[in-house]
Amino acid sequence: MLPYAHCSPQCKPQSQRMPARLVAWVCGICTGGTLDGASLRDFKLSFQVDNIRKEFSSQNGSVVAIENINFLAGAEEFICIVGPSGCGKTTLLKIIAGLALPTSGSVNFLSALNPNQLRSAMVFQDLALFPWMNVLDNVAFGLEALGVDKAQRRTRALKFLDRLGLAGFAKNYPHELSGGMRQRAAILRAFLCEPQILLMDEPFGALDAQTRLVMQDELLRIWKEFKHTVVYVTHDIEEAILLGDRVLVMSGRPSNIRADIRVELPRPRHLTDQSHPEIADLRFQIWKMLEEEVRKEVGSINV
Amino acid sequence: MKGLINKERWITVVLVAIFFLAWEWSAGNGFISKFIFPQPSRVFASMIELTASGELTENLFATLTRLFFGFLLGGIPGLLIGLFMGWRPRIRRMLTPVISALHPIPKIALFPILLVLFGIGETSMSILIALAVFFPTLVNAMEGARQINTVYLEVASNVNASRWLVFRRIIFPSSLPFVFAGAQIALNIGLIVTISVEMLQGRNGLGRMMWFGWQMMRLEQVYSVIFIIGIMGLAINALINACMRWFAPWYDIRGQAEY
Ligand SMILES: Nc1ncnc2c1ncn2[C@@H]1O[C@H](COP(=O)(O)OP(=O)(O)OP(=O)(O)O)[C@@H](O)[C@H]1O
Ligand SMILES: Nc1ncnc2c1ncn2[C@@H]1O[C@H](COP(=O)(O)OP(=O)(O)OP(=O)(O)O)[C@@H](O)[C@H]1O
Ligand SMILES: [Mg+2]
Ligand SMILES: [Mg+2]
Repeated sequence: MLPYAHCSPQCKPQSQRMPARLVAWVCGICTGGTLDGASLRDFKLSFQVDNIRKEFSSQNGSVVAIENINFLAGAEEFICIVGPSGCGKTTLLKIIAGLALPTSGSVNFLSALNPNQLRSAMVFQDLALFPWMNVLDNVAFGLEALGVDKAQRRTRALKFLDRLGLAGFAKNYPHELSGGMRQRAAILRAFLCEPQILLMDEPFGALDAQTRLVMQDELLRIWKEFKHTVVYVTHDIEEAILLGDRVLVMSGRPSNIRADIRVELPRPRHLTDQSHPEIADLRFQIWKMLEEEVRKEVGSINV
Repeated sequence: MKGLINKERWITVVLVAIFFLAWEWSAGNGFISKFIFPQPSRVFASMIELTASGELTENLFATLTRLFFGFLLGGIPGLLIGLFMGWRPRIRRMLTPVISALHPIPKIALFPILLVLFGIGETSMSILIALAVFFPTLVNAMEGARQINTVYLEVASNVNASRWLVFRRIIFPSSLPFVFAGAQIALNIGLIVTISVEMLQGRNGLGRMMWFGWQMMRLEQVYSVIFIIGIMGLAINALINACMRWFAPWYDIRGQAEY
């Protein structure tokens, strides 16, 4: 079966340059070639990032943020992206979200959308909670945009507010929340509208280690429940290994994807688990790559 | 209610009281002309007299009515056009030169034209007040819509929010603090223009009262009206603050919360 054979004509991917069979084949490669024929047939694709390049120009000349970015995302895949600061992770997410246009290249969506489903929703790095709305209205904004009626918005939002430990704060304004609570609210706003693709830009950056662990658990549970494709940007290598099916390591600017690492560990994962020595290897491998990239950058500044 | 009894408020009250006492004393002693600067006590007496006779209340009401209708007539279009100009860069680029060119024209100078077009009466006066109110409302609303952090608009377009939803839930509420600041300026300018135009052509109103006061050399009456206008300024300020607290509660406290 072709990955998008069940698509209606109007939701055909914009670009058909890559035949489906090839897509499936590449997919087999990018998933580490571990899929046999049967599971390859079950493997649904979500989107394809096709040779993206993004150049920002200003008075001080232009910056190529990202270049030659190519990857395929499976429909129920959890993809983590790590990379040095300023390499273009946020830029990439915004391009996937359709909030910014690439200078060249395209993002092709390979699966059908249910009616009233959002293609993607993003958790912004700077949260972007609306200061003029209380928490309830903030998290329900996506639903409001989807045309869900008020009572239903309320019940759905309250259910999840409770789940993320914000139950008593529905009527508070964002400035009355702690940093971590704001972050949870921002996450909730994105996944409450049950998008096909959930784009998260360092969502747990402001959480303490313990809350972060609990939230990661909760995120994985929600992910299993709703089965979205998740693209998750983080600075934290351990977090990437803990959460991701795959870790994409980005190089320094102009950045591309330096490595695409499959994490073949069974879930639930525990990083302190002694029975998986490969965790340490993986961590070291990624750490090494990132260090190299950062050194390149810093070195080039010194010259 | 904490705001009414805070320390700064008392300092203000004391300073103002000293000013009036000094005035009273120096006018009484002949340091300054009693005729040009009648003592505050006499002004106050005249104010009571004017209130008792109903003259002051009646004229105050006339002025407030004019200001109110002029404010609505000029403020609503100013608000809407301003918000759209701030929101949509193309509309802004298109209209900014026009607005900039029209803004500095002294509106009172247009009064004769309005009189020719609409005749002597309330219509001409309302339109004049509306013109005066229109520009400060517009400029502030535009700035309000323009200062919105683009990330909020990205959130909206990320969830495919309709234009109407973006306007209703983002552009409008986040501009409110600027809109109220604009409304405060607009109300004050509107009041100035209302009183000026009443001096020129009113059957009634505070401006008319003041003009009569001058003509009949009843300076206590002039000062009474000036005093009332000052109180109206205070009322405008209080009204705007109340609106701000009521409609934009998030704004007032934002500074303290380091948000
Ligand atoms: N609007 C813009 N105009 C000009 N340059 C930009 C713009 N947005 C991003 N850039 C540049 O693109 C590069 C990548 O930015 P981006 O925000 O995507 O980095 P990032 O990987 O998310 O970094 P961080 O980890 O610090 O969040 C940066 O070097 C930045 O200077
Ligand atoms: N301005 C405020 N108005 C009302 N409640 C507030 C305000 N600021 C903080 N709070 C409440 O006080 C509590 C502590 O907030 P604070 O920001 O100090 O937490 P924190 O320890 O820094 O948390 P985090 O690790 O998430 O940043 C929170 O529950 C929050 O709801
Ligand atoms: Mg970023
Ligand atoms: Mg904190």
